[in-house]
Formats: sequence, C-alpha cells, structure tokens
Amino acid sequence: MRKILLLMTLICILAGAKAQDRVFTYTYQSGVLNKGQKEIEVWSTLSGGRNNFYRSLEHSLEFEVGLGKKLQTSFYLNYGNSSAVVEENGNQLLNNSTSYSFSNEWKLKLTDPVADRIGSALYFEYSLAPTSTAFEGKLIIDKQMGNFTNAFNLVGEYEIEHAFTPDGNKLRSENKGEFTLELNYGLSCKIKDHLNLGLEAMSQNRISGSTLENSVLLMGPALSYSTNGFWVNLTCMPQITNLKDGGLELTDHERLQTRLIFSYEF
Amino acid sequence: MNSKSCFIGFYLFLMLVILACSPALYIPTLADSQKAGVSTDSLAIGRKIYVNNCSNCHSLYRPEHFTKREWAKVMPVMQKKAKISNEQRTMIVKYLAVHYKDMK
Repeated sequence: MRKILLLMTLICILAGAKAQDRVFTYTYQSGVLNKGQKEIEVWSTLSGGRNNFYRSLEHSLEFEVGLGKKLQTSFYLNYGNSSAVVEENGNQLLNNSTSYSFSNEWKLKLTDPVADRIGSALYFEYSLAPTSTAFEGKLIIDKQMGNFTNAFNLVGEYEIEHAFTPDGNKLRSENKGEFTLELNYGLSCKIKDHLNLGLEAMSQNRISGSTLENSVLLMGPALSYSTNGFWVNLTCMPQITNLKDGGLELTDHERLQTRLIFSYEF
Repeated sequence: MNSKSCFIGFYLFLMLVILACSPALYIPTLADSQKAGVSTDSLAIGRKIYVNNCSNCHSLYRPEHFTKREWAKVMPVMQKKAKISNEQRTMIVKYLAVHYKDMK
C-alpha cells in the first residue's frame, strides 16, 4: 500500500506538472509548449483607481500551440471595456469605451531554467485594432532553484495610434507613436505540490518622443494553482510609487491592477 | 543618482545575484564516469536525451531530487508519456544514477 502511495505521489508530481509550469500572470517564463501541445488561456484584468474614477475590465482569449524546435505561437482575441468620468463644457459625464483587438505572439526558448545556468527566451507580439497597431518584444530570463522560481522580463512596446481630428467638415488622420519600456520581476515559492505563492513587480515607463512621461512601480502577491491539464494564476498589484516624481501617478495609471489567468491543456 | 537609476541598478544587481547563484544540471566529468562505471560520452548522451525529451512537458528535476528507488518507479510511466525507447530510458537512468538522492 505504501509503495502504491509513493508511486502515485511521484507520478502526480511529474505528470501533474503543467505544460509550461507558469506561476506568474504579468511576468513570462521561458517555457514553451511541446510540438502539437495546445492550451487555451482566459485572461481577465481589472484595473481601477485613477483620478477621474476610471475602471476597466479587459479579457483575452488565447489559443497556444507548440510548433516544435522550442518555438510556440499564440493567437489572442482581446476585448476591453472601461468607464471614466470626463468633463465636457464644464459638465461631468461618465464615458464608456469598448475596445477589440487581435494579437499574435511568437516565443522561442533559448535555454532551459534547470538544465542551463539560466533559462531564456525571446518573444515577439503584434496587435491589430481598428485605430491602433502595437509591436512588443520581450527578453525573458528565468531560473529555477529548488522550490523557488525567479523570472525577469525586459519589455519594449511601440504603439501607433491613429488619431482623428476635425478639419473643417472632414477628419484629419494623424499617427501618434508611443513607446513603453517595462521591467517585470517575479519570485515564487512552491509551498505545496500544486500551489505556488510569490511576488510580482512591474515598472512601467512611458516614453513619448524623447521624454519620459511617467514611470510607475507596481508590486503585489502572486498565487498559482495547478493540477493535471489545468492551472490558474492570480496577481494583485497596487501601485507603489511614481519613480519619476514621487507619490502616485493616477492620471495615466491605475491605483490597482488585478489579473487572473486560467488555462486548460487539450 | 535619481530614484529611477537606483531602481534599474537594483534590478541589474538582482539579476547578477541570480546568475551568480545559478547551478545548472550537472555535466558529466571523468569522476562521474568512474563513479558510474560508464563512459563520460554515455552520460553526456543520457543528459541530452533527458533535457530534450523531458523539459518539453515539465520543468526538469535534478537527479538529487529523488532517490534511486523513486526514479526507478517513475521512469517507466514517464517513458510512455515522452514516447522514448527502452535504450533511451536506460541512458537517462545511467545519467541520473550518478547523483541520486542518498537514502540516509
């Protein structure tokens, strides 16, 4: 009986390991899906707490597939809805806006976080929306040491927004470019076979032209639960400080961001 | 130095610490070969098969993570999942055997 239990436990540890062993929501790790493996991920991000109220709920439905040779691709369908108080001619109004977009990402694993001194991967994503186009690149570095997982991402995102302004009885189109440099760090500890608890930090730096507009630091707890073929991760990150001017930056950034991802492998 | 520079410096320092403390999966040496009674090349092949076939589906486990008996029990089950041959399984076991967790 004892032998059977031992074997069952070992098989659960190994076989129950999720395809990518992902334990963070904002910070990526270097793992990719095996050739032919498929996963569906559902993302929900709730952000809120700007000066003008502002609250947004964004969802992504992601289909991931492993292509082999340490390469993986994903397709996202993104939907978002936000509410904010705006002022028009001295009157306050509640403005609701909805967004839809499509994204496609490519991830190439370079080194393994256990077999090699450090795990690494390259990531590229483009997003298409009716009035904007965005390109995102990431350098992913991670390391697994015993029960601890460390991950660090250097992220660059360039977004081109197609703005329209009235010009007589016509609309004039203008492209506005904005660059965001993001640093992500995650540290997680396996506290039980299927449960990880850790911390995630994110530094978002918005650059327009050659000017650093703002630089905020968010940090909060990250929880991950996985079982055979299924995992769920939750991170709640309050804004800690505005690294540029001190205090909190609540004009373009939220006081709190919370993200939940759950995934099924099939 | 402003707070932003301090913050970036802290990140880089953290990464250096992680790098400096990072052990990799052991690469077979002559001493390992003598201990196992198997050639270094065979152990290196076992390592390669282990990394290439097992890390695709889950994080790798260090040899010292499990005892000899534990590895022996779990390997046949994993062999089926990874679709590897008996010969490949034997090579992996030989590689892992050098640094099994001691039964103390």
